Parts: sequence; structure tokens; C-alpha cells
Amino acid sequence: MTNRLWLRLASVVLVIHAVLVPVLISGLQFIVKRSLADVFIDEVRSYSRLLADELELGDALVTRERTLTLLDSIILSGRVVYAEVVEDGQSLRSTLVAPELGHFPGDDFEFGDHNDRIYYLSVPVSRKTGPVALRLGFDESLTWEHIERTRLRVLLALLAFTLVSVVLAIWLAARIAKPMIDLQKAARRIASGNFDAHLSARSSIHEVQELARDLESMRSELVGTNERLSREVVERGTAEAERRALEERLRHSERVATVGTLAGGVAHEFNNIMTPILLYAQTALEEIPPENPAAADLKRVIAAAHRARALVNRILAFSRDFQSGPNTLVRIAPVVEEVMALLRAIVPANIEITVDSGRDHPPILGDPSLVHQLVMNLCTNAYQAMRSTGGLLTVRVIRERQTSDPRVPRGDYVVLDVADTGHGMDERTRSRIFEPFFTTRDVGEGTGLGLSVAHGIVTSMGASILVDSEAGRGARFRVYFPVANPAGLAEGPEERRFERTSSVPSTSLAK
Amino acid sequence: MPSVLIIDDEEEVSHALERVLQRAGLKVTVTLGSAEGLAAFEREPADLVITDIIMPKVHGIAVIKAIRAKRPETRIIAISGGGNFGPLEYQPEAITTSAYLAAATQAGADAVLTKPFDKSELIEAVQRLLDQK
Repeated sequence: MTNRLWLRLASVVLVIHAVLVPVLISGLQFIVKRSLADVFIDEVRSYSRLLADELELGDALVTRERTLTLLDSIILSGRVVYAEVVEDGQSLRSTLVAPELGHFPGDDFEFGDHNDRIYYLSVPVSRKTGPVALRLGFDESLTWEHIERTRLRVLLALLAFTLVSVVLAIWLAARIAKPMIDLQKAARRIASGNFDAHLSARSSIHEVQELARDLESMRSELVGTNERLSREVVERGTAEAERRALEERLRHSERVATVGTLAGGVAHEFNNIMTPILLYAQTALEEIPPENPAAADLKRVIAAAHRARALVNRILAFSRDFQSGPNTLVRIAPVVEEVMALLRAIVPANIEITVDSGRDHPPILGDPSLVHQLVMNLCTNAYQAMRSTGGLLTVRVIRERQTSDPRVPRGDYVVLDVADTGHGMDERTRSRIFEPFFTTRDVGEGTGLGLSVAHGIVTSMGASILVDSEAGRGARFRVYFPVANPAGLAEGPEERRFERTSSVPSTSLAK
Repeated sequence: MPSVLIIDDEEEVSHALERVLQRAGLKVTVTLGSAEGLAAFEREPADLVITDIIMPKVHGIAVIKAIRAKRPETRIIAISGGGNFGPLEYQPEAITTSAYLAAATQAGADAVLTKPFDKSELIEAVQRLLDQK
């Protein structure tokens, strides 16, 4: 069905009318002619009878002159155009009969006989003198005009009826089609992606309303499905990103763990090997005279062994299991002060140190020895970045109740802020500084584990570490420790633990 | 002359200790491993035992406990290279050097030394413990 609805409906109406209207017209015309003719015939017959009665009773036919006068007066009265009296074969015709009319042609049986627009009629008149026939001819033209006029009216009425029907059909079609067109437009908008287009039809037609309702429920279902799908796509994207981040973290911690295990193993063997070297060298040094040139060599062996021991201790720190540390309430301030006291002894004089350990801040949850190590590593990293140039090392502990940095989840934090004015680093370096064994220093100047260990500690404590740096413009490390929930743990033993663990030599590690 | 028993599966370490302590004027017996060491202690209890902690089969912690149980007056120095290497069978739960040494102290060691230690550290610890006797 490719036609438009209104065209279709109008065509159907037209076809119906094309069949019905001619039948109606001929039927109606017949009825019109019949009824009007009957009226005419009835009228002329009763009029003729009236005249005949008058002739029968009166004395009009007594003389030829009086008869003529009568006939003339009949014609003059109108309607009658032919009047003749026949008596004994003798015809007497009115002189007023139009000369073009011929002889009386005989009686008309039907209206319109003889095709002469005259209705001929003869009426017998009984006279004492013998039978007389009154022959009359009535003018049919008025009635014919009446018939034609009526026929024309009927025709016009039917044509008007057809026209009205067609218009009605078109109007009805439009009325049905309008809401459907609206629905179609809305459907097209939906198809083009605008799911907010409501599918409603302002129609009083039940079926159209039903259709609109069904389509609208389909639309809202579609919108729901669409929203759900969009949400799922987003959720899947997020989940995928989270999964990748988790995988990355897992890979990272696996790598760190592997390196840690390896480092631990190597350290154990190495320490065993170093023991006889150190002991034999020291014994030998005591057994030879001080002036022996070998004495100096042995001192160098011992010094080298000491350096090796220090290195192994740093590597060993890395093999620690960060997860297994005891979680207690830790106040950062004393840890920072302890570390800074150690650092002041080894930091070159060209580096100025500023410390604000924030004694009033609340405790955090963690392993005090790890916090010690973390502070140590960050500070060591900072001062080493300024070793040749000198600069300012700023260590601060601050409280951030409502952190504004988007890289850190919202929360209440104690922040360890370690900033230096050293050489800084570029983006490429910054992205790798937490990798184990990654170092920008010369071979022998660092293990490349310091910041990796720091990162491991931060992660194990549920803290976050931020790095801000630009090449040549110093570096700033900030560690966000969540403030410990005071209800979580009783405060107290951290000082003691700190004392014990901070005395373990392997916890000092420089990158 | 005070007697010292050395128990360490690392031969080089054992002999270096022997050399240092002999030179310090002590009677030294060297054993390479916990079983051998405990057998030697059984035959002739020493005044001082120096034992490694991470050793195959019988762990140094077990050695300390056995000696402590047998002869409480014996002085014991635990030594360890730390780390976490080696077969799991002789690894305690704790894996850090400090944890090893803490475990040794808890088991009854009088002193702990982290390898590699200086000769002076060793002599100082040995003398201190023997003086206590």
C-alpha cells in the first residue's frame, strides 16, 4: 500500500458514487417525470371533463358562432392550445388555434406522446342531437420545464452529495492519518537518536490511541534499554580500567616481591661470604707489622667489605615483607625528628634543613619501623638530589582534613611533605621512579631501591604518595596517611616498638 | 681455657671464626651443621656456643633451645646472614634479619650478631659472655 490514505479513501468514495449516482439519477428522473406528468394528466382530464359537462348542459353548441366563441374562450383561458368540436363528421375548430398545428392526431396515452409538446385529448359530450366530441390540446411545455428544472436540481443535489462525500472522506482520512503522521515523525526522531521524542497521538480514534500507547511503551522500553546499555558500556569501561589498574598494581607488586625474594636470597649468601673476608682480613692485619705494605691493602679490603655490608643491608630492607608489619597507632612527629637527627649528621653543610614535625597531629595506623624507613628514604632521596649543588630540604607534617588534590581520595589525612630544591626530574623519569632498581645516579651511588621501597611502604599502609617535580626545579613528595580511627586501636605501644625497630641497622636505605 | 663450639654449615665462616677465636686464646671446636654440632656438645659441653640460625634440617633456633635445655649455664651467640633464601623447610615464619635474631633471643641466645660482623664485635661479645660465667 503505497497510496496516501486520503487519496485511497477519496478514490473509494468516488468509485462508489460513480456507480451509484447514475442509477440514482435515472431513477429519480423517472420518478420526477412520472409524478409531474401524472399531476398534469389528472389536471387536464378533470378540466376537460368540466368543459364537456358545461357543453352538455349549456347551450353553447346551439349555433356555430356560439360554439366558436366558446372554443376561442377556452384557448384564451390559457394552457389549451387546440380546441375543436366534431359533430356528425363536421369539425368546428377555434380560429385561435395556431395555423402550424395540423389536424387532431388522436388521443395521447402518455405524457409526451407524439413528440409535439401538446397533450391531445378528446372528450365525448352527450347531446340530444347526437354524440359530439370535444377535442382539446393542452400545452405540455410548462410541465416539461418543471420536470427539467427538477431533474437538474436532483442532479446538482447528487453531485453536491458526491462532493461532500469525497471531502468528508479526505477529512476523515486526514483525521486518521494526522496522528499516525505525528507518530511517524516521532518514530523518525527516535530512529535518528533522539529518544526523548514522546510518542503520543491526539486522536479520538480508539485504535490510533491504542497504537500510540503501544508505540510509547515500546519507546520507553527502548529508552530504558538504551540507558541500561549506555550505563553498562560505561560501567564496563570503568571496570576494565579498574581491572587494568589492578593488574598493573598486581604486576608491580609481584615484580617487587620477586625482586625482594631475590634480594633476600642474594643478601643471605653474600653476608655469609663477607664474614670470612672481613674476619680473615682483620686477623691478618693484626698479625703483620703496621709498616708492612700489605697492611694498607688489608685495610682497603676491610673498608670495601664494610661498604659491601652497607649495600647488602639496604638490599635486605627491600626484601622485608611490608604486609606483615604490625599495625599500631603511630605518631609521625617523633619518627620524623629521629630521622632528621640521623640525617643532620650525614647531610653536607651546603644543604639547609627545615623541619616542622607537627607534634599535635593525630596518629596514623601502621608499622613504626616502616614509617621510619619511609621518612628516611624520602629524605635521603631529597638530599642526594642536592648533594652537589646544595639547597633547601623542607620536611613538614601537616593535617589535611578535606584534601583538595584530586589524585587522593577525599578524607582526613596527616600529610608528610618532603620537598627539595635539587635537580628535579622530567616526566619520563617521574613515571619510573618507583620501579625497583631504577636510578638516575651513577653505578655504585645507589641501589635504585629507595623510592621503590618507599612506594611499597606507602601502599602497604593504605596511604597515597604524590610526586610533583619538574626538571631543574626540585621535587616534592607528599605522603597522605589516613588519620587512624581512634576507636580502631588503643594507643600506647608504638613508642616502644619504634625504639626496638629503629635500632635495626637494615632499615636505613639510601637510593 | 674456656671452650667454644662453633656450629655453622658455611665452612668458610666456621673456619674464620675458629681462626679468630683460637688467636684470642680459646679452645675451639668447629662443626658444620646442627646435627654435628649438637652431637659434639653432647660429647663435650662447651662454655660458649656460637651457632648460625639458618641451617638445613635442624634450625639454629632448635639448636639454641636444645642447648639451653641441656645446660642452662652455657652462653650462646646466635649469628645470621639474614635474608630469606633457602628451602622452606628451615625457614621460620619471620623472614627479616631482625626477626631471626629476635627469635634467637627469645629461644635463649645471650647475644646476636648480624653477618658480616667485625672481629672486634665478635671478640667483645665473646669476652663479655665468658666474663659473666
